[in-house]
Amino acid sequence: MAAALRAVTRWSPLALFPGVLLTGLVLPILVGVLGALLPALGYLPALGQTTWGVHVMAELLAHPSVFPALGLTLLTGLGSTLLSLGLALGLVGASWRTPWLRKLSTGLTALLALPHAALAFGLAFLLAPGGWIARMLGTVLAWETPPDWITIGDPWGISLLLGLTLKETPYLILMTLAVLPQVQASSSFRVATALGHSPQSAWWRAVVPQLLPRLHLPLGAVLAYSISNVDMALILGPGTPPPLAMLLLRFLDAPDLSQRLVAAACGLLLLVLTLAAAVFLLALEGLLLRGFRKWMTPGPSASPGWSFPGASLLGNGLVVASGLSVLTLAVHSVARRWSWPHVWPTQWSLRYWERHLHGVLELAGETLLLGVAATLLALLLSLGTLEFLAASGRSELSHPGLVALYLPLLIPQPVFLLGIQTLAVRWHLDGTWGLVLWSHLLFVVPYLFLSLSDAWRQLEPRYLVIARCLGLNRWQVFWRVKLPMLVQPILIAGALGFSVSVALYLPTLFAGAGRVSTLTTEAVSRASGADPRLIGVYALVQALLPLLILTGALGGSRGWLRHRRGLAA
Amino acid sequence: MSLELHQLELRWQEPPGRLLVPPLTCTISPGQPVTLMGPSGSGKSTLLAALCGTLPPAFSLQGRIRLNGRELTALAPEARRVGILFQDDLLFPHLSVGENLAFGLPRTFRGSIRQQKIQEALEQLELPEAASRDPATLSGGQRARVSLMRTLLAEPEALLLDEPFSKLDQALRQRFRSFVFAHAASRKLPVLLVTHDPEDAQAAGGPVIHLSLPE
Amino acid sequence: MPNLMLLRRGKRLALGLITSLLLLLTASPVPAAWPDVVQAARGQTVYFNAWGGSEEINAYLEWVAEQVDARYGVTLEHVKLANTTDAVSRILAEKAAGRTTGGSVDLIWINGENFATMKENGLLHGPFVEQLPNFALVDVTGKPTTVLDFHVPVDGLEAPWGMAQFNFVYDSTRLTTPPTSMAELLRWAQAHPGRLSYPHVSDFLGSTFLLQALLELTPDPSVLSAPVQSDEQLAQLTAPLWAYLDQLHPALWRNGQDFPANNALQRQMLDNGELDISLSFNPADTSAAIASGALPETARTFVLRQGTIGNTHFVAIPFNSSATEAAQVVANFLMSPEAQAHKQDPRVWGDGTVLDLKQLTPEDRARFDALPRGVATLSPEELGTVRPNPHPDWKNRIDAEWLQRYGQ
Repeated sequence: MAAALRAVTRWSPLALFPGVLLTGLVLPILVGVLGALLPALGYLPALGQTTWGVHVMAELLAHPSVFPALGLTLLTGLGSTLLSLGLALGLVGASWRTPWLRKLSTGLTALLALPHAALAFGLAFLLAPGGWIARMLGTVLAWETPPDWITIGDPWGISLLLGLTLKETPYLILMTLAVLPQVQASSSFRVATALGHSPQSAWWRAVVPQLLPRLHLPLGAVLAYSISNVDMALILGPGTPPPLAMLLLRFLDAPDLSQRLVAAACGLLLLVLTLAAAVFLLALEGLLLRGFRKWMTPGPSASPGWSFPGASLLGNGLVVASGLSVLTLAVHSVARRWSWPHVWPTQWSLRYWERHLHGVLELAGETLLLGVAATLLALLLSLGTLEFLAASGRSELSHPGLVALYLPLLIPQPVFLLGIQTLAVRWHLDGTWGLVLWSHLLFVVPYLFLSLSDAWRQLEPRYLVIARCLGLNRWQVFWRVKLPMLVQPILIAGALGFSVSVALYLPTLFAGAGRVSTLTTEAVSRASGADPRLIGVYALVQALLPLLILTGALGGSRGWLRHRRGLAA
Repeated sequence: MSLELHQLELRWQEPPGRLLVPPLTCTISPGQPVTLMGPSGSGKSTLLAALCGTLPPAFSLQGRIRLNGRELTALAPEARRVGILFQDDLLFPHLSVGENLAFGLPRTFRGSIRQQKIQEALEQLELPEAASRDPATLSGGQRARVSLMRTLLAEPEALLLDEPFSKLDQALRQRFRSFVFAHAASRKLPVLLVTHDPEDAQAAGGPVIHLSLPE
Repeated sequence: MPNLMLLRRGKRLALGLITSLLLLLTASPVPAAWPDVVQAARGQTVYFNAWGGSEEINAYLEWVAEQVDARYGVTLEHVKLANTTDAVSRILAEKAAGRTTGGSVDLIWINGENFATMKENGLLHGPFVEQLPNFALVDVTGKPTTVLDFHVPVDGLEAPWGMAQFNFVYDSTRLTTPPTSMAELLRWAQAHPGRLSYPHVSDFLGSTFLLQALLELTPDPSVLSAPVQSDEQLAQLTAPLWAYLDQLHPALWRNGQDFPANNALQRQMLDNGELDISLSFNPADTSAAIASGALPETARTFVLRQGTIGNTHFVAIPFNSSATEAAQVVANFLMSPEAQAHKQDPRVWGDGTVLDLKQLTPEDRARFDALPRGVATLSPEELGTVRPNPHPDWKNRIDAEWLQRYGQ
């Protein structure tokens, strides 16, 4: 009898959701990777290339820029990942038991919603030798020409590294906060302090070692993005040599079409590099957590221990730097002339807004439609999958399932997008709205699913038992108990999912084939003209759209919670 | 009118067949609450979940459960008419006090009769003005009583109590205990109580079953 | 490695031959009469893939879209590209997938290398240019680059759209006497370290700067109009160029260790005062930039005494366009005296015309005569000799060598 009941739950139609989720998202990516592998091995019949072998790889490795680009990519990718992790752990450690965290996390959520390109443009306007900061100094110090600073596009990739860190730290902070309850951080911390450890020591020795293994997937996503991103590298990275992903695009953009094979080989190299970097990070963690364990048990000391320097300053600094970046976008958008060394434009004009408002709003509308559709679909898939998991008595996806879900974030974008583009063209799907929507789902679903599954896990299961015993069936419980109780996390996850969609550059470019464009693709292509006023208009609207949605979501959930204090906790 | 357990046993799925609760047979009649005692991990709460129909898939169930002659084992939780109270009140935080009470009230009560039933319940709770209040604004004792009333309004045919008194302070505990048993008795409900507290068992006044830790 | 390159080149040559043969066999023998083309074009939508980085050009194309809609019922969508090769790669991908109709690009703005590549790989529709009525007005003898694109015969596969000439941009408050030769430029740079740069060779103005230097430094520029003959010839002819760059680079911005990613960025750096000289391929766009506030009122342009490189840019129709008629109507309109005169207006774009003004009706000529020249635009006399681009082969080889020497 009981076995029969279980069989019924196992074959429930809910199984469709994880089915669609995994086959719809994972399978095409694997096919895409394959599509990129073949040309790397010399096979691209459209160009008459059918000679299998390693000659394309050899040609790539003989390219003078490859090894410097490799080093640069490793430095910026690994550097920004480790720096973001350190900052995130330090900031959470310094603030997780204080009310300050609450304020900070609202700011961080806003940072998370800020598109990469908009942030990078703003940072460039801020830090360039002729940028805002230099102008402020220049006015005071009476500099005749901008300083000979090597900031934006520095050959070591430091500005790219910092830009990436600025963008990824908020994500890692929020992910760390999400896993804190899973490791029972509070009790570990209390026990450690009771044993005589200072709060800092308790955090790093008792809590952090438990957190690290649970941060693998988010860290993998950060690493893959840092290694393979194109939009931030385009704006902040050096050009001679460029990071590897940019080099790949250069091969792809070369008028000599046979360079496409080299581009594919470069994609393969990018994939190998990402894997190698991930293995390196795992080894590093293994060393810290298994090899040299003595640092965890030197015994408590009465001294307060080393504290995280100026954590609150740093946390606020992240928010302020990003805020200033957005502000420079706004100032540039209304400047007519802004010559050196004036701190404010010498001539103002609304001309760019007047001329572009119509076009920008139209694009914003399309971006909104795409983002909302992707978010709603992703919500549907994620909620369905979570319900399937709940019905089969599991609280989370199995590890392989999670990895599969994360796959679009773990494999460098240019690699599988290249292969998928070829397939899409074959099936006449390129440039269709549906394909762009699907390409957005690839990235929106993992973010949305992960933030929702935390909320699902934290929901008190006895509420559901009570509701069943009060006579509601599974479906009614979902509608009348789960959804209303989880309105806030659902709205916030939705807003963040939307911001992911707005920020997507390469997927929109590849799937849209120039027929479907969003604020982001338009902003980046307009940016090739390097007109700061025009970039200001587009990047500002690009930044404001997700912030607007997020504000709406936060406002909506506050309104919903106003009379229900029990949910606000 | 009774809740009958016949050779009811619970096993783990993993490792297959490992015994959690050995075969248990008893009949619970109205006015004769049965108390289940045992250390943590002896399967008390899992047994209640089995009676509710919300047994986690990690366990399997053998034997029979009958309520007023109905066989429950194959029924979905919502069709069993078994009410449960936990140590936390678990009032839905997204609903007002009145909406919480209406949550389990059968649909056969409509319109003004529905309103009337809820108002009556509020008056029994001595909270006549509380229909639109946020449950978070009630005191602990008030919430516990609303929670019981919500369960009773769903017209259960049996009542399961999962340590519902353990979180209340001494004075409140006695009052709430008699409130619960009085209401159960007046509705002639069979009651199964899970507790750690011998005082609870004494107050229940019926037979006591001791579960031991599985091997 | 060189062997491999040769092998690939051989393959490409064979591929090109085969596709040319195929084109000959499949080209439609009887071109449709122009009124029929215009008739068929009505109601079609043309996806025009063109660089989207310039405000002025985008605005001009919006005007074109309004015109062709009103006159011919053709809808023109400007697909704004960050890089023209994005679209070329897409067309290639479509060919790879066997999509011979319904392609995503109907009209594309190209010249030089991209044209050579598309022509070689059979990615172009046509020939169609000769049947466009306005082509008769094009100055094919006075402006030979309208039919020879970087020495590659156009063969009616792309319609000329505008003329470009390489020039330097500077701020007259910071640079008083502009250099007139590459040698003077070097001396100026050495006297003003860190104030000069040129874009990375992945930007076409970056490689044009190299070709411009090569034309002036090499003893016999005439051989540059043919493909590279041998590695020895390449090494011999380019030796003075590398010697020049080795001297120049230490005096450049960031000591020649890094280069602006593109010319647009370089112009922005000139405006910011980070550089004193920028480059341009349009003698009039500095005036247009002053008018829009993108450069200071004191910005001016200069060319070199021995002349600078000039070329023509074109529009072409991909082989799988589904709106070939409307694309031809747009290409024809772009060559019309009205559209050409509007485009040459420095307040609009300032791009030079491909037409022979002597052939125009007096009314059409008057459109051009009425145009202001713009404060920073040189007169045709001042612009001096226009020198043809070297064969694309030279560009490829020099870019590769440059990357090898300075790209790390």
